[in-house]
Amino acid sequence: MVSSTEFGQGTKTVLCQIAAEALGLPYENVEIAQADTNEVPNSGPTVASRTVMVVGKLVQSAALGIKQTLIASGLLGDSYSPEEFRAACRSQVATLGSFRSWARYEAPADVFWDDDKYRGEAYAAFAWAVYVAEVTVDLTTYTASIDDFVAVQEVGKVLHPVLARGQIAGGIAQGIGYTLYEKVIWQDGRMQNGQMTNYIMPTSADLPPIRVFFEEMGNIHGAFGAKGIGELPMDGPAPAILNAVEDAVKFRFNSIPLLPEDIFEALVDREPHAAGRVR
Amino acid sequence: MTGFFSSRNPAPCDLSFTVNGEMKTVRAYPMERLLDVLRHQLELSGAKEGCGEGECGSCSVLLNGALVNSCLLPVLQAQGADIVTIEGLAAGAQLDRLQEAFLTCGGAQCGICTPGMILAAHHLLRRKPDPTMDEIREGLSGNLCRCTGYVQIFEAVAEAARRRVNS
Amino acid sequence: MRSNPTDYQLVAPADLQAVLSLLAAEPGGWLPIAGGTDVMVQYAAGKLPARKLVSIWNLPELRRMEVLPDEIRIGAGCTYTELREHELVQREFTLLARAAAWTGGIANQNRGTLGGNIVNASPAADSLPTLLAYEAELVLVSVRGERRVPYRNFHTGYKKMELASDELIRTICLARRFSGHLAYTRKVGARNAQAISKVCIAALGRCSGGVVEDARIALGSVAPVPLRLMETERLVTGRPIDSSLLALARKAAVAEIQPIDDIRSSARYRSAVAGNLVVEFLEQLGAGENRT
Repeated sequence: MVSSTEFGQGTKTVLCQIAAEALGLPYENVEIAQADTNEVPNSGPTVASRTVMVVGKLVQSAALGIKQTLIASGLLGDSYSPEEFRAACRSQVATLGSFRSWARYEAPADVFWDDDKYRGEAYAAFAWAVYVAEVTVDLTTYTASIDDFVAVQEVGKVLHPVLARGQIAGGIAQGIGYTLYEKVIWQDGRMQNGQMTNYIMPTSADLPPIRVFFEEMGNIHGAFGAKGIGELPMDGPAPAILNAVEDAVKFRFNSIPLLPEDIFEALVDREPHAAGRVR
Repeated sequence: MTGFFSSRNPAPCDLSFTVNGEMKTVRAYPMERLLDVLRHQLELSGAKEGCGEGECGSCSVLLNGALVNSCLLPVLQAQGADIVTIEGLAAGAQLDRLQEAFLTCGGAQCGICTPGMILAAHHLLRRKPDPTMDEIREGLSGNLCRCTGYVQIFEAVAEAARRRVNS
Repeated sequence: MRSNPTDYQLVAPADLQAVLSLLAAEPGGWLPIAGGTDVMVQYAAGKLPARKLVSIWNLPELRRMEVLPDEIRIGAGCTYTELREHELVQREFTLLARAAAWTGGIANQNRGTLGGNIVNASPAADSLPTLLAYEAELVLVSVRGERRVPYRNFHTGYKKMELASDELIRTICLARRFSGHLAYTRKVGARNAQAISKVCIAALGRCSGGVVEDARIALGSVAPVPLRLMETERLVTGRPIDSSLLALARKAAVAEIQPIDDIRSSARYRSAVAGNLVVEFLEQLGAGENRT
């Protein structure tokens, strides 16, 4: 039971995987409660790349607590079948009335964060990534398009390859969107382009193949060594793409979204005599 | 199509069409959107309103075999049509191979685009059973997805195509 | 959705004559709706002034595609899908087939019609420059009969057209004499699909010994109406394609257009890109790519 919310990122799946792995049970034997705040404890919001790493670690600890309690009370041996586990739980419940295991987050002892001065080590672990964009700038239309995009992430441990890859690809797509397409047009404090027809999100015809790779260096503070990944892929695309554009047209852009109109103005500014097609 | 030549004041009318193989009759105002009639009267909430302007494709259904945005279709124009929604793809508990491929390949995250995306892919594979990646991109270009970056969606479509070729 | 369906009437007469009678009985009183890809967007936004609509979707008289030895006659109700998939349109009217293929996505192509694109008269419409390049003629019908008019005179101003209040477009006629021309077309939008163009070009050219024999250059999104660049065409016809002609052509094209700043793009960008596209067309023409 956690307050983490599923919205397609795979929270329910991965947390059940963690519990199953910790308990030595098949994945199908684990159920996760609906995150009804009337029922579940407060495990924080589903944000900040923390679900698998922080909440997952608590699930892992709580699950281990269940297992250790059953073993300590002699109801289970060191290895057991799912049926034996079920029987042990039933006995425990029959004796005690209910059987619960809690885990509460404690900041790691070797991480010092000063909340008054906002100084120190904010987190116990960091995930790392490298993003590479290959970009073509069309000098007839001044459009930058991405031909290839490679992402390498060091995330401690990949708990579910398909879900993890989906998160990275989706985050990169969003990053590409706000790098090259998603301009918000303001007038008198009001957004002028708030419709799908004029707020330009990339379609399937605009995104490059996105190639995703993982490295796993472990993390003692996360569930089975995992680190958070939700926000990670949002950070790299814009700098990678702008660096690639700079490499192509030898002009340094430092704001996003970078639209063809911006590339045009910069190139024309630099070579005002080369009317029209600028090289 | 039956002639409805009338200068009456606006009034609802009886319309019939086939939905997922079953004949349905609804009473609706002619300018009600097919999307709304499907969702509210027929309780088929698979088609979603993502934008209401024909840009995102989450409302896609098949009308006489053609992929259309149901948010742009006055229900009067659906009179007599053969409509397929996402709910019509599976045969009972047996999922369509596209649906299975989406599951295996992680083609769905939040699921809002998924019904329309699967129908668009179904429409594509009917016409191009062995599409290239470019054809997949183009076939799905009217269906916007925010979660997946499209990568695993394309893989799901390619996988579904492979499974049919091998079956 | 911001409109109330109970405020609207929509009728669907069984044939064209019935529709025309209705339009004649109340000129301007009924708005024709075909695939609805423009009308229904306005309706959903609460921006459709018309309250009475007449459906012309699926009228067989408007869906015909007739192939004659010297022209093709496209029913105004033909969809973009029908256009892009038609073998003759692909072969002899490439500009139109391509424009149809990049209008909206597949779902919109299945419902949007060529007639609808014309009467919606957006300056950014994808098919309209191609109709200018091909010198299309329109057959307009009403209870009073039919008349055939050159398309180039059809738009008289922004969203104004030479169409009587009881008239419909029935057919778009294209003469089959352009297969020997180079067909060049590009759409410049904010993204590769589902985009309203910032600039688009549809051009046909014939060149012999490096000299321009015939050039038809039409642009969209650079004026209140789709535009044929008559001055630029006059300037290049009969001249050899060299770098000085390209520079002159660019200058002439930029002078003929009236692009604006709007939510999608800037006048400066549109001018520069329009010039680039005209130059690219002439370069391809000069490079001897005389195949469609």
